[in-house]
Amino acid sequence: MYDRLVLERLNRIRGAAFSRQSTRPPARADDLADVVLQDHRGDEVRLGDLWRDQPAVLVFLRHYG
Amino acid sequence: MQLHRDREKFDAVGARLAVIGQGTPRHAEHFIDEYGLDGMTVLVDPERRTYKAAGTKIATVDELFAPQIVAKALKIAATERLVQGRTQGHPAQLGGVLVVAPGGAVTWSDLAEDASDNPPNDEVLEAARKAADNRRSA
Repeated sequence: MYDRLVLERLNRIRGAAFSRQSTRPPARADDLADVVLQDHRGDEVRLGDLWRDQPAVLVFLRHYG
Repeated sequence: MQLHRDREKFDAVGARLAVIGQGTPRHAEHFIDEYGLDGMTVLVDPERRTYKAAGTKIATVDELFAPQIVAKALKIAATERLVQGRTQGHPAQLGGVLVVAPGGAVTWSDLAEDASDNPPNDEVLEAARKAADNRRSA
């Protein structure tokens, strides 16, 4: 178990940025609107459809769980 | 991020909550089963196209493992009774929240600056309520 935790930490470090980055929230979601993603069933969802009729709250997770 | 626990509140104010993660549909399905999120929109973006378009960032080692960040994350996990699963996708990818109004304007955003950085649910809910109210009054 300890080895797995060490490897997990090392994996995270390996992917880390070398220098601090800035977040850049967009003023508009135009670049997101035509992106098509799969849901948990494998069905396709066009992101722009999520806010077509009502506001959408998009939550970007680091990871599930 | 525990916004999914308040999804009924988002429904009540007239906003749609959608969760995007880095894994596969199987990971999303497990996430739904584990947290009882039947009916919720849970999407997968293994290529992280939406993360890049949303302006999120990749964390430095310090932004992942600085003592104050780890302490805050452990506190949140204990409070929320979270057990962190194995990380899928890019290990240093940070997340965030966007509120998008009909028409495509991003009316509110909070993108994580480090691994422990999450907006309070109440702030996100208020932003969603305002976006829904603006739409109704338009």
